[in-house]
Amino acid sequence: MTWDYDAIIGFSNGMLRGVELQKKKFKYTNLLDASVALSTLSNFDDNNIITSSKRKILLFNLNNKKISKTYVIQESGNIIGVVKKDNILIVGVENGTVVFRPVKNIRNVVLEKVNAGSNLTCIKQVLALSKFATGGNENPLKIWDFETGKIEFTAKSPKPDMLQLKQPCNVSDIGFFNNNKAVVCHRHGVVELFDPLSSQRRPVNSSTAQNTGFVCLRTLPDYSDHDVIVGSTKGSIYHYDFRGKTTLPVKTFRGSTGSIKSISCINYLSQMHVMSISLDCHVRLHNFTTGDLTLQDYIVAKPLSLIMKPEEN
Amino acid sequence: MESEPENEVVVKQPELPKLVRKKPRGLLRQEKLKELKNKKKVQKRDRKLRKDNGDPKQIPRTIENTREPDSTVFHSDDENFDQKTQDLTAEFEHDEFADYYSDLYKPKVLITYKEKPLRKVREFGKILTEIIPNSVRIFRRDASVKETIQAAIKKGFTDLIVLNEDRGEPNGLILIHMPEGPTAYFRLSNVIFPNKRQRKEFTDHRPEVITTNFTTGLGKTVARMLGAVFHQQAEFKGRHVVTMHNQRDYIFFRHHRYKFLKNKPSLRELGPKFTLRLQYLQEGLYDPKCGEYRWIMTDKRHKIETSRRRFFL
Repeated sequence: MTWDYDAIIGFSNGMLRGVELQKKKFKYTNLLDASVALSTLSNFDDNNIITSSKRKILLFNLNNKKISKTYVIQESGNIIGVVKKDNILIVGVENGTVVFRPVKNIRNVVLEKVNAGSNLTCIKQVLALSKFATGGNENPLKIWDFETGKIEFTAKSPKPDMLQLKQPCNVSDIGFFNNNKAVVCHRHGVVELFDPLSSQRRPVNSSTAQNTGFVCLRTLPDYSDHDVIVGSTKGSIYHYDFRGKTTLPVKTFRGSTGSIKSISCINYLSQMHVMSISLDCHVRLHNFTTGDLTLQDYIVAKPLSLIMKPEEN
Repeated sequence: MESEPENEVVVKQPELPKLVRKKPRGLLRQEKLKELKNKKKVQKRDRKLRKDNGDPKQIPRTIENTREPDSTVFHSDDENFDQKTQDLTAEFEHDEFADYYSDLYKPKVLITYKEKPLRKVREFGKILTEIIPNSVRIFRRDASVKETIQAAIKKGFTDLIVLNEDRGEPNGLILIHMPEGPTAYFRLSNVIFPNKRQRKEFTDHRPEVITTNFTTGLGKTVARMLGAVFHQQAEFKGRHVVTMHNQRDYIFFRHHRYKFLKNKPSLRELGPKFTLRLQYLQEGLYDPKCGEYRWIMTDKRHKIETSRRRFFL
């Protein structure tokens, strides 16, 4: 493993920084200065990570701290996410196409692109299965198969209210539990739990928040199959539990004054912590059990994406 | 056993409150004045003593110089001051106003009102168009702000100002930088219009712009945003100055004409005078429901304003 850092942050001014957690301190190391906004970050293998900006995908090598390869996607619109599966990069583009791009130039690619509906905002890989999920504005959750490129599950658009008025659907992030249930958070402040294995296409359970929208979401690792933490547009992080009947959050992690761009869970001083980056240019660490703010630091530039050190098996 | 009857006798009656005669008002005032006089006398004596001893002058304690430390304000004795200032310049080279400050375009401003503006707001908009160079004002009728933004982008405008009013008084100002944001909402108060004599002194020359006392990271962004409404090349022939001064989070707008009388500068107020107070700064274009906020005060003012000595700009 060449991961010397606990996390890596991508910035809007093209910087890439490794973050190490020390006692009561963050330590930063500059990795790259690309001068383009690095809007997404994802894992490639032990030595490489994938970043992307507008129409380019960059493979960044952590060993020699250089970009080892670039791919250009010939589609109109920015890249919103990249997923890697068996030597194929699956690229979601804003205009709704999902492009399959082989890592090495192999001619005999079966699939090239798939249309996933307009206004795509999110593409995620299903854990331990050869599937991926997409969602967007007025574009409910869809789960696809890698090999065939066919839809396996489509969520129904939300139920109209008691006056038969149409409800909005604006997916901002998707997460998966170990039992393959899917969680979706919306820009207008709704978190929904879907069960792709059952025949029900409407959400199994849902929670709403007043006056905020949700931007990012993370399911808790090895914790339970019901808990999820969600970052909001006004700066709070909510912890929701889908077991009970209440739609209120279990806990709120406060402290941020700007929208949460990305959140993740991390072990720090042998306790579970929630790490978040927000648009007010801060990195924050909250204790998960007590909900207190343990560490925060000003990082000057505007962060866009966060990736954690992959867990060693 | 003997003392028992005694005990019964010595039951104390609760004391009645003493009737204090109120001192006459004049006497109280006299006493107070006397005290004040004595205090000033002592202070004066002390000051004289200090002056004779050659001690340095004492600095008065004000809210500004006892303000709470903010992590986004840099001091030259910080731990990694050089690194942070470098990062800030790098951030400013890549943000939304980089094009303006590297002189790539000239701003073109559109000023609109609420749906059906009354006389006073129309007058205010008229004065703003006279001050801001290259600006146009229109009535947007029943078009929404979002529609107006899209139309303005097509016409090549770079900034949009929307004025709001309540009971005939202008009370809100939305400033939108186009085409990529950000959006800021200011509360507008204490609007004093220029009088007839001052209005006669208005000329078409481009004014000089001064933004002062913005210290924090958020403050610098707001200052850059306000500055980007005006042209960079001022016409010094007109001798106009537009000042936006920040003091305790209130931004004071002043408009002057200056003159040099035998090397002694003199100012002449032209008006209008008004005060701005930042309510929120939003990423991207105006979208109150689903937009991501960089900083927001509405709904959580009590959580944010924990102290009288804490300021954000």
